[in-house]
Amino acid sequence: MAATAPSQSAPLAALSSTATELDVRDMVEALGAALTDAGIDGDLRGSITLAVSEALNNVTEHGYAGRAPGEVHMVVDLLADRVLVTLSDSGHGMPGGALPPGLLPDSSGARADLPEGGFGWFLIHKLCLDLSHTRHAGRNTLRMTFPRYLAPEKS
Amino acid sequence: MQLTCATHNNIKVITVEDNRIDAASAIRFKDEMRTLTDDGADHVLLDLSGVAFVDSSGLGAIIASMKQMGDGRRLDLAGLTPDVAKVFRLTRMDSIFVIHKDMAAALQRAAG
Repeated sequence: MAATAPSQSAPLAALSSTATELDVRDMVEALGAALTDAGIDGDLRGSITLAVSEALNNVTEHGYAGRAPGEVHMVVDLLADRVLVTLSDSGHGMPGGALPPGLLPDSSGARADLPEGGFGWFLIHKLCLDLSHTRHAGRNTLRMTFPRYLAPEKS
Repeated sequence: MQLTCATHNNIKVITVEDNRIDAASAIRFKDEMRTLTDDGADHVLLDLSGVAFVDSSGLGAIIASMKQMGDGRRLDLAGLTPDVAKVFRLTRMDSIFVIHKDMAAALQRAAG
């Protein structure tokens, strides 16, 4: 058999779990272990696990809001110079059908007015090189692209 | 979520014994912080040196812990590991909290 093209190579990791807070925590820890095994460590590993954790928490909190937690799937592919994490679920679509913009919540006010949430999409946008969401036949697919060798943080 | 508590130089030091504060533990963290800070200590120092991972829910719970102490009382942080420091830096919460390198530096500054 001929050498397999990169697009057909086996993923670094493919995991499925129920979208609960404790189950997605296990998924994030498995992601971190898989990245370490692939030689991705330090700041980059931290950025990928944080961004994916935020996306999984969104599925848990909003995707299956008001209904029993469904499944969430994660596939991690190592490309030549990228790490691609694809999440899919059968929960609600994005509000308005589009990715939330991910603005940094305003923390310039008094202590009592400091934001306690709204950081999740900001962090996801900040840490991904590329981000896309599609919804087809009741399934959400979120594709999160990270560099494989450099810290992804944008200024 | 396990927190331990001690007092040094009139500073209440709360140490997080779990290695993560995330969506699964954020509410318990905030509730336990409320219990531990209810005595009205003016200066509380949260030792995060054993925490490897904080997500936005954990960050929100730390912010909430400061807010629920009310104005005029301090919640400082110490010992942020690299990934935790990054969350504070990216969200600019490193400009809201006083962050000490480690516990020794925090207590030394308070004593000096």
